[in-house]
Amino acid sequence: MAITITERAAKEIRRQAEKRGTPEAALRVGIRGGGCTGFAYLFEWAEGAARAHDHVIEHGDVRVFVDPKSLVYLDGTALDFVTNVMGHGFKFENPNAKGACGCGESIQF
Amino acid sequence: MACEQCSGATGLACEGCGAMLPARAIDRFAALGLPRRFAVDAAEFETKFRELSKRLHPDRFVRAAPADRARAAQATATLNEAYRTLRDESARAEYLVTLETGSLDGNQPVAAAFLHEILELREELDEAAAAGDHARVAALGQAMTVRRDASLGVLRAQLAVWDGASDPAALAEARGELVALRYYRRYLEACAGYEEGAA
Amino acid sequence: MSLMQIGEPGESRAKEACAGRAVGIDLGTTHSLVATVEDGVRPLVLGDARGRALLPSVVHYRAGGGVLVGDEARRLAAEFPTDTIASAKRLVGRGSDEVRAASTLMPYDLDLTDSKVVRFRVAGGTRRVTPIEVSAEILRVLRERAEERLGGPLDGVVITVPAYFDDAQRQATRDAGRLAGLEVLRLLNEPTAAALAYGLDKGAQGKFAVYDLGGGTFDVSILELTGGVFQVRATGGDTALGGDDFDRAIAEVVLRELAGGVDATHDAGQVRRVLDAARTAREALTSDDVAELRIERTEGAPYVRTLDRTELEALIRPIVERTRSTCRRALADAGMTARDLDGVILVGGATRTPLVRAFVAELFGRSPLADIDPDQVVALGAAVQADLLAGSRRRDDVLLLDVVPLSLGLEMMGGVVEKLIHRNSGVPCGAEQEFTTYADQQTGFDLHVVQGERDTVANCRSLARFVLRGLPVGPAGMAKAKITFLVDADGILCVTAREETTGIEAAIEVKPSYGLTDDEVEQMLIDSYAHAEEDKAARLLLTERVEADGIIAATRAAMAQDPALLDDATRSALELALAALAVRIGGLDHRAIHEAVEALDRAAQPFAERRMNRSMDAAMAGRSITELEEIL
Repeated sequence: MAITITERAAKEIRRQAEKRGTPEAALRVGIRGGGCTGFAYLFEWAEGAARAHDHVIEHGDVRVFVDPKSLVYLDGTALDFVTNVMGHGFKFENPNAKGACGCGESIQF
Repeated sequence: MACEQCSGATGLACEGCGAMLPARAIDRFAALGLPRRFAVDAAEFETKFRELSKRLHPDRFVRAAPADRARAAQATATLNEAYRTLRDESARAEYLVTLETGSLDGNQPVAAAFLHEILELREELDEAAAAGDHARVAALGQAMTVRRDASLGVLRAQLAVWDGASDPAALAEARGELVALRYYRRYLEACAGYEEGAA
Repeated sequence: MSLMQIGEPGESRAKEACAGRAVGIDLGTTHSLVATVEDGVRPLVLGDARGRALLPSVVHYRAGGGVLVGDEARRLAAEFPTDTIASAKRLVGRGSDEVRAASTLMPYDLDLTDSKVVRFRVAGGTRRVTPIEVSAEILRVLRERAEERLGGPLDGVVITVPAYFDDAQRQATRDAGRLAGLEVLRLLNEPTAAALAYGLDKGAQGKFAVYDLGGGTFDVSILELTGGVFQVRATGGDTALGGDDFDRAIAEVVLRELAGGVDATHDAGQVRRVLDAARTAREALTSDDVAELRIERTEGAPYVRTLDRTELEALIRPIVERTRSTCRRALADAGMTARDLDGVILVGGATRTPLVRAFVAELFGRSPLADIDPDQVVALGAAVQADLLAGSRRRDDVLLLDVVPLSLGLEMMGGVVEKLIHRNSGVPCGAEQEFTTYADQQTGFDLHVVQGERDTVANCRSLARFVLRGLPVGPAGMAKAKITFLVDADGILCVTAREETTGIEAAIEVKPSYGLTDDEVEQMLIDSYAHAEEDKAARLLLTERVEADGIIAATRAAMAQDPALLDDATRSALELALAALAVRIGGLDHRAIHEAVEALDRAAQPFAERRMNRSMDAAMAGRSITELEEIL
């Protein structure tokens, strides 16, 4: 089971970590309840070190923590960083997701 | 029965952790977490009902599993039944006495003189109503209301004895008063029916 | 999907991704509304594309096929009176016999051959529809309106019903919701909804009466508000009394005058025109002292007459007076007098009538509150309840405790009713009763469920009949059946019967004798599935259009902001892609719109990157991080 991080995403995470003044900080990625379809992505800076059962993904010096439950839903996902006219930001390319909702933050499996 | 979640107290919801307890046959006092006493503090009674409703009402379980929704409906139905019975003074008295000493139906002797008297009063009422004598109907109703209130006073005193000492003898006396009250109630309902029909 | 930004620890858990799309619908006799709690605080009514909040509850079935709802349908009412159904709510859940008895001045072509359910012959006589289907058309339009405004399918709705609606009328309303493709979270009593809107808005505490006189129904409820709990103490009403009756009283006078002072039969179109003129005049008399009634005639000069407020009040006073005893009984049931009340709330368009306000003030001894629009207050309250039940934020501090409006019972020997559940019992509620066989060798129980306050079956409403069969054969009194009633939070009854010695069980959700059977509703649903694909396509189309509009706006804004960063090639590519998208938006193919959005995205790529680089350069030039964030 794995999650991949694109080069663009890794570069941006590193940049933002430095900007935040925490160059060592890892990201926490997961699935949580909520949103109009019942699931939404969790996407935030990790608090401290990885927890006991966390899955740790490394891309160069960028580290991403995923809890084992979420990994089931995120397997095969690519985390990308994109720029378009609406702005720029991160995007999950998740092969498990059947659809997204209008608010864009919920996912359907 | 102890709570599954925290092994706390009894009732429809656990007083310790607020979890809904399994629906089962419990008496109406227990449903509201009250002792089997006639005297009830009205404000505390209403607060207890509201608190329990907030925990058990199906509105709290709209997105829950069907089994939990059914349990919530059942528990709230039990709660509402208990509330309706115990909120009204005479209904509460009758329920308490029945719970402790058995049903009043068919096994409570009624004095023949009493029955005779009520029967006569009923005839008088029916005649007044048939004659369209609204004033007479109202007067008969007023007299019966006074009598009913006096009976309620006696009942309160009898049940205060029970509350103080759990004395079954007090309940035996209360049974007689409760049966009389049934006749008074029916009579007053008839009065109200005639008055509404006339209005 | 939208792009994501990295949050601080715990941040994603704190905010909900998006609000549940739950709405409240006031399905009224004369008009209907949909409302939602959009920002998680205050409810608001959702208007249509032209900003109109009230949808007239009028449905027109075109002779050539097709259905129109609302103002468009109402405009066709006089020309096509029998194809245009107004006030279907008055007939929902009613049997043909009841309608026959009450159908004065109903300009429709009614099919009363089926005793259980009334049908309208519409579309030039080619279609027959039930009031449930008519109601479903109204609900469907409101559903689409809400989906358009909220940008996606609805999670659930709360539909309001008159508190005094009986079981059959409630079932019928729920069926209409199902037919309209809605998940009905709850049927909510209209006065309770109004109290909820007032209570939350004004933070009120205490005892209140809600006087709700709508187009076709009258309700009164007595409520107590304590610490976020809205407890209904008593309710009463008349499901066949409302502002429509005011119009009818005026129309009867006008029709007589039109016929030269005698009672005569009039064609449906004429009746419709007179009723419309009557309503216009009545509404005008809310603020004016005199109104003019004008009816075009096929021959001769138009009929013109003035109606002043005194004459109007003389006509409608007997109708308003009919609400007096209902209010008194509700107060008595609640164990209160008018003096115990802390306020009286007015609901329903007909309460705008000055006579009604004066009557209420006199009856309750205080001037009533009407500071929330009486046309909107029910929908607003329904939206609050929908939000409480399924909205973004669960609110544990507010709870509604409602009651059953009418007693429920069983027929006993001799046509006498044994009440199992008394009116004004809190819902959900239940009751049990045991019965024994009354004859030797009796093998079944006939159960007849009725609703009403009277002691004899003949004077109550028949809800359902069912049979518990297969009893053990034996002498009278041997077999015992336990009958259980359970009324759910919608006020709908479910009855189960169980033979105690053998455990034989029969359960029914009481399907009223008057109304549609489950099979009939099922068939209607199947028929509507034929449109499901269209509906789905329509929804996808809607979503794509909303997204495309956003992208076009963002692109145009960026182009206007940074023209210097646009080279000619990119600009023309962008213009081309924008034009292509604009064309596709007008079309019906959601995939085509999606592709055009992606094409625009590709065309904008160089421009977007230049804008980003420029931002980076600006950052290099010593801008603060905050400023940088704003630019980005």
